[in-house]
Amino acid sequence: MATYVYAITRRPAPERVRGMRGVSGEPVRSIEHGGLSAIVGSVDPRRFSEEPARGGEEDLRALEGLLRAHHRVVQALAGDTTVLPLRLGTVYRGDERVEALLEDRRAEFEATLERIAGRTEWGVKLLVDSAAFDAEPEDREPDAGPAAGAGTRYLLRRRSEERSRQRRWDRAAALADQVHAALDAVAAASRRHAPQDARLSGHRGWMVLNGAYLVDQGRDRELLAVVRRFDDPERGVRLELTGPWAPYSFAEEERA
Amino acid sequence: MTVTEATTGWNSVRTPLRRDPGALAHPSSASLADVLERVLDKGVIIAGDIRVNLLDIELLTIRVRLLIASVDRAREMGIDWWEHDPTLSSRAHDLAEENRQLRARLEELEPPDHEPPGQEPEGDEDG
Repeated sequence: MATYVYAITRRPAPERVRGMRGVSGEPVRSIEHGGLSAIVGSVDPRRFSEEPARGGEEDLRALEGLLRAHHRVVQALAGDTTVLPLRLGTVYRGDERVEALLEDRRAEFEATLERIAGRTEWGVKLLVDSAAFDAEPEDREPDAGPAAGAGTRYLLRRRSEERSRQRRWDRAAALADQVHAALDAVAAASRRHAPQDARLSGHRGWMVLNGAYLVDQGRDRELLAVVRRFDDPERGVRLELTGPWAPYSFAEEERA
Repeated sequence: MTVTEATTGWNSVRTPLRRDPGALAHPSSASLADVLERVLDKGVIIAGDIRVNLLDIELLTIRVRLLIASVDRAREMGIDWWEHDPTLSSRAHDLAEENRQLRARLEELEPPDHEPPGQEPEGDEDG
């Protein structure tokens, strides 16, 4: 059997997590070594073939199952311990190889666990309704004059719409920077992720900010206050708060 | 302002696009987009011993996105507003063809969620 690794923690998996089923339906357990624990499960290595995935139906089903199970285990751990989530699909040939990992990279894991201890990841998105956001007088359609033909009027209108959209976009981007700075001031660390695909997330309008914020547990309310302060649906400005997350976004040091 | 708990994932967001009437009853679970973003793209990268066949995760992510959020399916649901979004409309157009190809697969994958895995026998001959 191979050993699938979910996360690294400072303590063995709590009873509640050991009762869980992992990515292959296997019971979740921990491997302890030198003051660190790897949260793992025994899986059939044939399930993780080395052949490249082709994105077919079986691959998709496998990915769905992995995603759900991996996330469930990590989130359950995060409830009451500091957890360093591993990226999906980390598999070793056996427990002794995981012990070697804990030995070889102990200093790095301990430093990261120290960095995230007592902190929670929150996600904040800023969604701007591109139509409602900050409509200004110059955003309105200009009068082309009575002499203008239909074609001219059409082109003028198109140009005006394009300029208006660009101005609104610029204002939305500036607001995103402002919101991010205010959230970052409350957070111990922050990251800006790429905007999500609207067809997947279901959001409307422009996602001008998709941020992750690592916040000291005592300062959660301050973060929430910032979110509330900027949330302004009547102006077409909506903030979305998600969490608490295991600190996925902060598991790796930020690259310069 | 929307506040969403991150405790569960996947089904909760897929379901609105899947015509599942129960989907909206769970507004407080994490969205698939959020879960994908973190579990596939974040977290500590450790090589491991086995090169998992999900290594080409980018491709799979894109396919999952298409599978779940197919343009055709979304349009069926009356969700077509991205076509008015300049950051999405060109891509939506490019993806339309691939979506058509994936649609057959989507149809294959979907129905079991709404039916019991095996139909109950009609009745007992003896009874």
